[in-house]
Amino acid sequence: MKLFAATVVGSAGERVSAATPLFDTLDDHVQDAPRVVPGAGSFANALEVAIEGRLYWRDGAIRYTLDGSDPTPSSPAYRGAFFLDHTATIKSAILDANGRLGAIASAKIEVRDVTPPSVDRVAPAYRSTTVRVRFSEPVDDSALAAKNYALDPPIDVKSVARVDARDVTLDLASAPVLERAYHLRIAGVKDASPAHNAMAATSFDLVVKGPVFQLEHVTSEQMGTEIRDVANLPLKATDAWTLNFFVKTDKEIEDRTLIAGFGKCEQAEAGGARYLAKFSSGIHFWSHNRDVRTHTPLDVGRWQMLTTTYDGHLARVYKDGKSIGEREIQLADDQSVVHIAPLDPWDQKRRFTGDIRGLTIWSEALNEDAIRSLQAASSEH
Amino acid sequence: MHVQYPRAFALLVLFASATMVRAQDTTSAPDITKQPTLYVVGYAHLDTQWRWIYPQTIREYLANTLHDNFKLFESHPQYVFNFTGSRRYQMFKEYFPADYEKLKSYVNAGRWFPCGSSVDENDTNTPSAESLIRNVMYGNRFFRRELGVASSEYMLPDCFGFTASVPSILAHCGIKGFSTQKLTWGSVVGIPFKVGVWEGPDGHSVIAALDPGSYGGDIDENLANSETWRTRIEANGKQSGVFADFHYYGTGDVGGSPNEKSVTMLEESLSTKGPVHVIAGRADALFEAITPAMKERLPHYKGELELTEHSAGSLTSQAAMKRWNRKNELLADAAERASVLAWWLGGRDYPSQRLENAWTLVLGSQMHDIVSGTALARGYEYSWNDELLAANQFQSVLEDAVSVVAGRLDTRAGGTPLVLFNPLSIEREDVVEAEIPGDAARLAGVRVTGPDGKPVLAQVLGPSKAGVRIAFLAKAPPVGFAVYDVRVAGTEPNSASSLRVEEKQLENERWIVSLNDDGDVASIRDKKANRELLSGPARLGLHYENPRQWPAWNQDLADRQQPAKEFVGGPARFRVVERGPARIAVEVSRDVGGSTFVQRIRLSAGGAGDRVEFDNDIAWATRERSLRAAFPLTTTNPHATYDCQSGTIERGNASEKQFEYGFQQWFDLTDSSGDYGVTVMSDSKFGSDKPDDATVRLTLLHTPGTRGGYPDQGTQDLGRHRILYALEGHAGDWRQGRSAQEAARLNQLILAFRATPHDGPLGKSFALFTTSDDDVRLSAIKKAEDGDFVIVRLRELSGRDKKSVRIATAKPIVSAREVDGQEREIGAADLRDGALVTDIRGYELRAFAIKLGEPSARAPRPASTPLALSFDADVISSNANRSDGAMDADGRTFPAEQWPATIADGATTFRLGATTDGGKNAVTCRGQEIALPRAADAGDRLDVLVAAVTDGRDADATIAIDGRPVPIRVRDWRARVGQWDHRLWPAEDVAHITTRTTATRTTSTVTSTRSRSTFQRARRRSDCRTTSA
Repeated sequence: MKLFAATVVGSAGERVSAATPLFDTLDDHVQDAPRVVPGAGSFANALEVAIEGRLYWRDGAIRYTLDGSDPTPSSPAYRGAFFLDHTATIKSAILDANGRLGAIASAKIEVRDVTPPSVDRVAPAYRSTTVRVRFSEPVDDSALAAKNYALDPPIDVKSVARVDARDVTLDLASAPVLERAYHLRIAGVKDASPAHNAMAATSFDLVVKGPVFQLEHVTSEQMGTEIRDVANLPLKATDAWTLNFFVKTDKEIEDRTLIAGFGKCEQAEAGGARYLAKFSSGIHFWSHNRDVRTHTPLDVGRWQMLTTTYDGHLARVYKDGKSIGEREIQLADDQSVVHIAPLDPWDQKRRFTGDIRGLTIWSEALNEDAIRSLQAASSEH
Repeated sequence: MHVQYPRAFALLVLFASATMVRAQDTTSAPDITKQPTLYVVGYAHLDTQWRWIYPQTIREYLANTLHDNFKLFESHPQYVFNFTGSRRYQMFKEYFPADYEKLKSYVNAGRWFPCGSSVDENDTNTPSAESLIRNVMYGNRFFRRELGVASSEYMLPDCFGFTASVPSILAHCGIKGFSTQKLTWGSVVGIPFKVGVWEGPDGHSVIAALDPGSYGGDIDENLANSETWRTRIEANGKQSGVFADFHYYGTGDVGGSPNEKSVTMLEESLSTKGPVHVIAGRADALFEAITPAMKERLPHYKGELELTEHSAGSLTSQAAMKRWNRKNELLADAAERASVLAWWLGGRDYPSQRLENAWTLVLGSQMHDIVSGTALARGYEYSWNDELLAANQFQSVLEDAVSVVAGRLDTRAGGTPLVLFNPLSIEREDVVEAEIPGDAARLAGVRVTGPDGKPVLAQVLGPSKAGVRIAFLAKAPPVGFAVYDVRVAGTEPNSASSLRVEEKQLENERWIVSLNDDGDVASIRDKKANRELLSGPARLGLHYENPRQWPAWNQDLADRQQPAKEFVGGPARFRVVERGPARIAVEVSRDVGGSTFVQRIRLSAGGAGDRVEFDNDIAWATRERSLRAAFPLTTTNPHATYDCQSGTIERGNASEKQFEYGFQQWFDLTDSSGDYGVTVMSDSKFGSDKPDDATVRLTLLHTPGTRGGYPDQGTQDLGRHRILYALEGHAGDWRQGRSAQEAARLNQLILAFRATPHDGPLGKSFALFTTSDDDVRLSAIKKAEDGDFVIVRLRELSGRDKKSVRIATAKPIVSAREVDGQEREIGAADLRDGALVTDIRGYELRAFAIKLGEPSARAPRPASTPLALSFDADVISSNANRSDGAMDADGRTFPAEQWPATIADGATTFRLGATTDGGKNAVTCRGQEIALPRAADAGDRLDVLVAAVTDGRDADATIAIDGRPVPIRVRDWRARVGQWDHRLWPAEDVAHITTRTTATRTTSTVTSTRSRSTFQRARRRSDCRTTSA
């Protein structure tokens, strides 16, 4: 303890103290117990168990045990939902700001796993030889045997790699043909429970989807045009999407010039319009009052690939497959229209001049691998 | 092209340009009744906290704002930059002292203008009128003191709605103009005009520019030749005769500067003789150019300017911030009133600086993304801390001031003397709660007598930390004090009381309140009027809230049009918790939706019995919901009346554009017949809605779903909440019901202080101020910032003009003059027989600086004797040499820049050690002895300023005085004062900026057995640090 000053104050006068607290003392803000979800029950399959703070919690402060003992500050920290494939009594408490454990929550969950795993998701990648498979629960190493997977029409499964307890990646001998219907047959994969329940042979559809809109070459006549009523454009406010194109210009483009995009190209409702543009700070994603600014310039005299992805919350802007800016934004529902080099919506006088090709719009937020594959595919052409 | 000038040349440009800019602004100002003129304002918008927190704002955004603009000044001689918020300038000064000096030179040269007239760009829905006034006063006083210049406009480009009172309040402060761009985000009434007159409830007004374009907009055309602006200005001129408009350009929301291309284009515009005359400069230039005669002809709008979306959820989000803001406004008000009296009596200097420091923390937290509840969750760690720091300061000032007054009162008592303080300017009778020494287990009753020696209704509530908690019915004079005597009794004294209580029914002289089996109040019968208030049970409804976008800001009409997803209902647990004779209460406990609701329905005796009170203790764990207290009433009217900061506003039932309504302390539904009405009042809530003619609802909590993004807002306000609201039925309308006064009584309680018994010349009751009209509230009483005057602000409550209102004081007023909200003289005042006499318009605010006559006898001042300490450690470093000294093992230190030579805290003056490099300034406590200066008297105190290095935990220590141990508890030097929430976010590493620390001030009586080592969590910290970052 350090002392900085001491003063004796004479006795003249009264010294009162407030007879009730004059502001909130927070004495009632004691650490409450977390909530185990589910709180109890009997289950015939492994299940995901979550532990949630109720009133107050701190990131990384939940401690828990699975053997029915009371948790201590050194018990495992809860990091996220986990699979339980055997009977357990889960006890959990939260460390408060002073490092003390609060009230304990307890949940007895009876599990006798007699249910084989199923498949939640089969996800091929655009122009790629990899297919990711997510199982419904943790699986044992039987999931790594290539013989347990077969494609129809046939493509050899060369190898299988584990991503995590539930996910594996198949490496195929060749990339599936775009938009072609395949069936992936999976058999014999066992869950990681004590019973190692094996999956019966099951087939899953596998289709590598392409963009919902594609314009490979934009002619000079098409510059400044709008294409209306495009089917399947991702126009709902929270739809995920990707906008991608290659662009080249031989002269410095004026600031606040839109290059291409989709949605009503007007300053109307906030979150309307989805356009890549050139602003004073550089390449720019413009949606009315929902912009993503970057400080990366639009180059003059060379082809470059510009991409924006949106996952319903986060918009990311890429140049040549490299992320150059991102922001959480909320978009609005929009109209089905694609504009190539539209007039700027502010002054109605600036229009992009240059070349655009390979304009695609996707109904998903492509990941960086997929975006890079677009760049690579372009190089091959 | 960017041109780099040599440094010497840049200086020449700077002064040359100053002349040019001034010439443009003044001597060449055009005749705006003929010449189309565009006033262009270069600006950078900075949300002091939003999706970022103070350290990042300081480290990056303030730094960028300084440096980006300095760069533009050097290369663009006609560029003028506007930046708001004195608090941000305080941060400039504190963290960038060298750049701040440079900024001052640019201000002096007319290149950088401190615009906006505020401490920060604040929210207007939650703060009180007094807060808005202080925002202007403290903001502009800082600018004048530091920079020698201040603005005559008020600038809120980005704010979530503007109350109807804003123009009245600004006009009261002598502000001429107002601007915002936020109405383009969706305004309930549209955008009334481009440039016009916005009028407040009292008829006073400001000129307003309501469509200046985005603050983040660029200038990408020659404005002098702009057809768009020429057309707009021509349209303005045809309408009003004033051919002028107002245009922001710049950047946001992270500060910085306009881009260089815009500045270049602006300079081209300035040098072009086109159809539009372009003026670029101070943000107040347009408002200064419009003469009163021109103002007369401008288009006119009277009313609120709330937003269609953002104004709904933000009225309720972040409940603790809004509650603590309200509580601090009231605590500040009480502290100032008591301090005026303590200063007038001569017992203390008026603590102007301390109050300004605390107010600045509160006003800074009223920034439009903070108190509105839309900032990053982690930002509230700073803002909660700031509110609690301010509360500590206000409490300390209040207790010290009351000590002086209590010292002059006659507190002789047979038991414990309690000094009551009524800050309100009305005489009142209300229930007072107090904790007194005693053993609750052995205590059956309590006897309380008033200043006249007669017993009052009193009861024991239960045990407390200090002993026993009691409640009693007390009368107190306006802005005055009264001494009550509390004696514990072995048996409950016989008290005649009209109160009756059972598990499902409460009754006093005015009401019979009945509860149904679900635990809801099903009937409130007005015995006096022989009338039922409720047409159905008053239920708590959980309503779905998952706005399409902007979760903390918005509520969606589609969600509102759905009925409540569920109601708080049975099974209910009932318990009678208070049995009178002063107050009765039934406690109802219910669990719904994962949350727990404990509601105490209360009725009081006597003058406090006109309100049916609902004291709520809610453990809120329900997501995607708002919680609304619904009151289906027997009074019906398509219109209800809502209290705004100064005045009232009438609104209809929910509509597509507005379905959530803000209010300050009350709203009222008087029947269309006008014969009866019901007022709803609350101590900390600001949102409400009115779905139909007969139903009003009070919005208590808002934890929205986050389909619109911002996932951190999906857990906002989960936690414990204490909410007090009340119903009051009345004959006639809200004026006859005295709704404003009732709501003020619910909010500003009679405050009780434990004192010691002694004689005193002021007697057992004392009032400093009285008014001849209860509808004229003394809404502020404070010492003037300059000179020995008392500022008294009047607020008319009824909306009706009042003549010859008389304000009298304990001693005749010597002199008086009228001042504005910035305390600048604006006129003479009428004194008659030592009292101030004035007319006041309905809803008007007027302020007077008065000089009080001398008191009959002055209060003594206790001697303060700082002790010489043998410092053995250096715990302070300057920003220039951060490696000097160490407070902890990691080498952290207190900043020398914020370490004063002395700290004055009431009667105590602390003398601190040196801050020079290597200088020793702390004693490492190892059981050393410190000599006291003389034989101490009984009642002398030892105050110490200490801090612990304990890794976030409290440290228990002992000070032995003449061998007698006095235990004290000391906070860790880096711990926060308190947090409403305990959540922890990833650590920030902000080096010097986060070494914000506080030492604990503790007091021990030297020779008596009394000690005051009561420093609990979230209580009492010293004022050696009051900044927030």
